[in-house]
Amino acid sequence: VATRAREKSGKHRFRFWMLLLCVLYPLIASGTLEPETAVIPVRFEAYPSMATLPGSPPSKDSRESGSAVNIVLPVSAFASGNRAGYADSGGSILWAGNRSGIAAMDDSGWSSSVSDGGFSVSDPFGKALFETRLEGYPFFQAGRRFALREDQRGVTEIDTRGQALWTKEFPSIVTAFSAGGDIAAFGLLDGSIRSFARDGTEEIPIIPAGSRLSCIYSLAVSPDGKDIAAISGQDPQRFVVYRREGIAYTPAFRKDIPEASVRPLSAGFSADGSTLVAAIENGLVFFDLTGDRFRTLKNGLEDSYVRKILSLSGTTPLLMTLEGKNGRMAVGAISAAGTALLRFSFAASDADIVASGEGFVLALDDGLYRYEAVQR
Amino acid sequence: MNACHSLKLRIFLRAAAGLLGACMTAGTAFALDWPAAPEKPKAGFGSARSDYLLAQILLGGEPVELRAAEDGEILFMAAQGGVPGSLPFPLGGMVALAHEDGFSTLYSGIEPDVFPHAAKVKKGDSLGKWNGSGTYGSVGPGFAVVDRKVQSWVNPLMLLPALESDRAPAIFDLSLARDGAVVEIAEGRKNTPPLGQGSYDRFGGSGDGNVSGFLSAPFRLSMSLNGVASAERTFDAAVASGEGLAFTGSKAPSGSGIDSEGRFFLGRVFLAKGAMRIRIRAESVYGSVRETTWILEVR
Repeated sequence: VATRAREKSGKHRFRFWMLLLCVLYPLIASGTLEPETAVIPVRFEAYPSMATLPGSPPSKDSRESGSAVNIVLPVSAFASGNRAGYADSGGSILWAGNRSGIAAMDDSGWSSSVSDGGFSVSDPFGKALFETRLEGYPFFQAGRRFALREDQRGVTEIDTRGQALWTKEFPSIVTAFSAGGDIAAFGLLDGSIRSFARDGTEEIPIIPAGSRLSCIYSLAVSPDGKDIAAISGQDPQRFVVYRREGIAYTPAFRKDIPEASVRPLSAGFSADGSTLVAAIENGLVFFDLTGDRFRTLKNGLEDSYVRKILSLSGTTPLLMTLEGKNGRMAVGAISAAGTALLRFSFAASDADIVASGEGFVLALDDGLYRYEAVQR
Repeated sequence: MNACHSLKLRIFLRAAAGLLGACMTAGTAFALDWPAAPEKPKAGFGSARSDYLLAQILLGGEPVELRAAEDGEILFMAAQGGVPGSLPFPLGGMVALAHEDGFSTLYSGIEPDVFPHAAKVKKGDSLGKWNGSGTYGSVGPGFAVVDRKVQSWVNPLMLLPALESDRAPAIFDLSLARDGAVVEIAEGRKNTPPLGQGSYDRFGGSGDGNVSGFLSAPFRLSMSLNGVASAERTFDAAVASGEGLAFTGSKAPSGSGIDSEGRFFLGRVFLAKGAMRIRIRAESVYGSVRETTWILEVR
């Protein structure tokens, strides 16, 4: 009874804050003339289809005491507690499996290792697509599939039948990656960015200058592949944007970052490629490519680390999960105008966000929670 | 390793990499300390993997804690499982330090300690604990040295204090390949089948006697034909090129210089009719030498 009362009390508190946020939202965003997209929770109770997930039901206290689980690589798939799978925009679970057995995952499929080497790839319904003997660690993005060599210095792109399309060896280890359009870009410990077309043709390397020490900490390739943003170097650390001009990417924008990070960081473009958000130490960079508008934002959760940046369709917000200290996590949303729309924190050992229809699903240890984006 | 020895090695390294920049850094000493107890590595620089050569060493013993090999500052740090985005980190948790003179050291397979951002560390400071993460983590923590100025990976054994024992490298076999046919001749074999006259790709199977784990490259592997030196590979450095890493004496990428059995490519040679005397000489990083000679009949 006490547990149920505590749970109920927690839900009430959360609903109260959500309602308060919804009421305050017009005030927060009052400086914006254009209609904005707000993210509101449509319900906070556990996602109804969670009951269809195989495996033992989540503990009532798991949000307080759940064990840490590595985030795998979901883009529109979900990973919640020890489960990972796919839900369609209507909320039905397409497939779910043990998260520990999934090596790579995005909305095009998921991968698991096979016992005698190599790995297999299955579609979101769990149907096997192919099995390959290629060695390496699979990772997926933008519908493309890659395998990273075990020394982190070589990469192979894989086709839809599991055959190697091309293989490259790098002069340094890979520290960042992003793909968009026909471009796959790799940031290296030596501070260079190596990008490749779908046929494996290497673009002219990008080498951000101006820092005493070189290293690439994050990368984001725009959805059309024409822009590449990165957090690079130390002393100073810089946010840099490169734009394709003819056959090469040329510097389009750079800005020093006041507080440098030494960790790998997240970055992501909005779906229409007009804006991007990049995590920095204790904050965020917002950049509007249409007007070279740059601003830094606090991420609102003390000493937190941005785990994932996700864009919804069109010009709707960029979303992110934040991991803070002492088991606190948060979800944040930033509008296309660079306004912080929403942020709420909660106690959890793990959290993930995935796009779902006109909103997103927040995956926690104990279940899935759905939110919708609405025009205001 | 004393300063003089260190300096000689540095100059040798620069020369081996085909560079003229030795004088630029000869006035400083970049001598490393072992990041863990000085034990025989479990894998050495240039170890042949399935399709590439290792550009680091895997430390031996049971290293609980990894320490900074030299004064430096934190350049990059990643915790196993704490990396955002879709990119896997097969090396596991890692710390990269930037040192003076443009060198970096990389420690992998560890759970990094928590540092203030871009913190400076002193030689011997703890960087983290070996946690077995990453591909090699179960074997031993990885340790690599990079010369950022010339974009080359350096054999750490050249810069670390010498181990007390020095065992000569092993020579396993010689392989001659021609038109898809391969003749393998074991190390002690005296009577070899006659070969047809023609050009052959030569591969030498050799390992470092100072490595306790899986097959590792000797420091230097050379071959002579009828007393005339004809090929040499030295595992002192791997220089970045457009295609990846080129280990001294071979062309990039690194995997192009080994056969399917992990033997090292030692060039193509024309074997004319008559008796051909092929000798392989392998040297350890500390100077021990082993030689093997085969006399082949070519018809």
